[in-house]
Amino acid sequence: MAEGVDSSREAVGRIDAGAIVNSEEKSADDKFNASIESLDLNSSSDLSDCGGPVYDLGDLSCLPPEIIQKVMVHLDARFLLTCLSCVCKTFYQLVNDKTTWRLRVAKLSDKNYPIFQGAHPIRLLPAVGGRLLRFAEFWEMLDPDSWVLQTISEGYKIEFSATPPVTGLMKAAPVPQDPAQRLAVEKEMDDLSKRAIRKASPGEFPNLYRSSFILTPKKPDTWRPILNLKRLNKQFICPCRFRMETLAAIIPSLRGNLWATSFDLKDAYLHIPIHLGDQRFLAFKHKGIDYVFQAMPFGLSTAPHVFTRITRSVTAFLRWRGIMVFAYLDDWLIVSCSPQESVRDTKFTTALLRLLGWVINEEKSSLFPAQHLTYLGANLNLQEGRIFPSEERLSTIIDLAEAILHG
Amino acid sequence: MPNIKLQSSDGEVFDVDVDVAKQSITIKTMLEDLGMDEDDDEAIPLPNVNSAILGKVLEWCQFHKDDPPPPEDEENREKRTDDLCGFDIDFLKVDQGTLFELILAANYLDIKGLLDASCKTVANMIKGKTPEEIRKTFNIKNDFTPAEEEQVRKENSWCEEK
Repeated sequence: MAEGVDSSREAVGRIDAGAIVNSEEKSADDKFNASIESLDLNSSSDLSDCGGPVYDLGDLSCLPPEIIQKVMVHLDARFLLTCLSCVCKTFYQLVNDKTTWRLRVAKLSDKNYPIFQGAHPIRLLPAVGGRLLRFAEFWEMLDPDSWVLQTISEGYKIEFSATPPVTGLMKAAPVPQDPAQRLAVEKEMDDLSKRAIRKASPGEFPNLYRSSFILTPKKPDTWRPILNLKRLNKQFICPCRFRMETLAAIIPSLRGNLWATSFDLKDAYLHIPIHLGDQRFLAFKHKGIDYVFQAMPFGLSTAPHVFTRITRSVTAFLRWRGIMVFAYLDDWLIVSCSPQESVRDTKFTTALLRLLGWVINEEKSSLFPAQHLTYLGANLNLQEGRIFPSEERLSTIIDLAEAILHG
Repeated sequence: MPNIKLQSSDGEVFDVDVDVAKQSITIKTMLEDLGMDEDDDEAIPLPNVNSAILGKVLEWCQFHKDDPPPPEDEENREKRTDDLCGFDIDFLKVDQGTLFELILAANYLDIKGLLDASCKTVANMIKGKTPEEIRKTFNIKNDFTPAEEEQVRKENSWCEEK
């Protein structure tokens, strides 16, 4: 420590000498020079000789919390969580005060917090279902409502409207006869086992509510298997009505000369984890093996609501930061006033989404600022601030009209 | 230019240009609210700042007295720590004790520019370091027990995956 004080004295002395030159150049104020001289005398004496109540500093962690927070304002949010919290108990408590630290830091930085510097740390996460679960720390920074936080950190608990069933189908889902369909099921099983389903370990669940798969036609000759949860939905779940943001929500905010980008979230529902205790309701048997979904399947009737409730905490946070964002399930649109702002807003939004664990479907995105783009089947003309139905929709309407007319 | 007198905790009196001193919102408010007369011979007592630190604070205020007011929020959206001016960088090349005292003084005197610059300097000293390096840099004692440290590490372990 003594060494430090010595070198500091030198440093202070050197800087003061520089400052005198500076002040002579900048200002001819004699009185200030006089005070500089007195300063010089002081700085060459030992700081502790100055008398008066000298703050007993100790180290950085001894500073008052509000000062440490003022330093934190300038640091990357991830860094604070993962690195600073490991240094000592004081920092740990400052950062792990789960719900309020971010808000307090944000207040200090005029709502410009959290900041995310540099690229997202590369993580070789398997593209497992319920991916968000592993990012719960970061969701806390959004300060979402407790339901969202609980769903992210523990998994979604199905909201049953009736006493949940004990057992469903006893048999395995039938293997389709048609070779194309059989191939589709095989492919889907392979795909799902990488991302959304897992084998139920024997004895893990007292009983399973099994469903079967139905095949829905996608394009000619291709099939898409979906877990058939019709019975579960109909008898035991009553999804509440809610409002989704449609084009109607966007129209009032449109005016001329705006810029926008759009993107969608890959395998949107599969990001949402299912609570361990409820995975047994999303089970099926394939080739004699029991599987359960650990991620939200497409067939569950509450899925759109759950998804919207979760993403709403993200859009609320983005809007609070002044980013005009619209989200219809996994289809997102960001509207900005200039191309520069569009780039900045888009960068921030995608960085935040990645940080929270979402995977953005790069192929289906248009991340470059544009004034003409398609969103939710509509052509947006942001130069004039108008929306038109897409050609595809127009032709459907025309076909329908002609069919009615010619009867 | 009218001058005022400021008295440090250890009794030293500084004769300062009013405009320089008014960068401290605390002093500005004192002058305005208490109706302190500029011709008044009485010194304003600053019991939380010693003479060495007050001298440095005033040196900073003198250099920055003609600064334009800080840009509005909109411009400042991106928080940067690499935008310190050359004067501030050199000014803040001091030992940690002095740096922390400057932060506390800037906080007490409510000088936003100095507080920002000094906090950014500390942030730059922290940035990119491992927990062990941070402890070493700031001489912070690791007060976790091995079991607690393991627990904290585990909580954050998924962040360290490569």
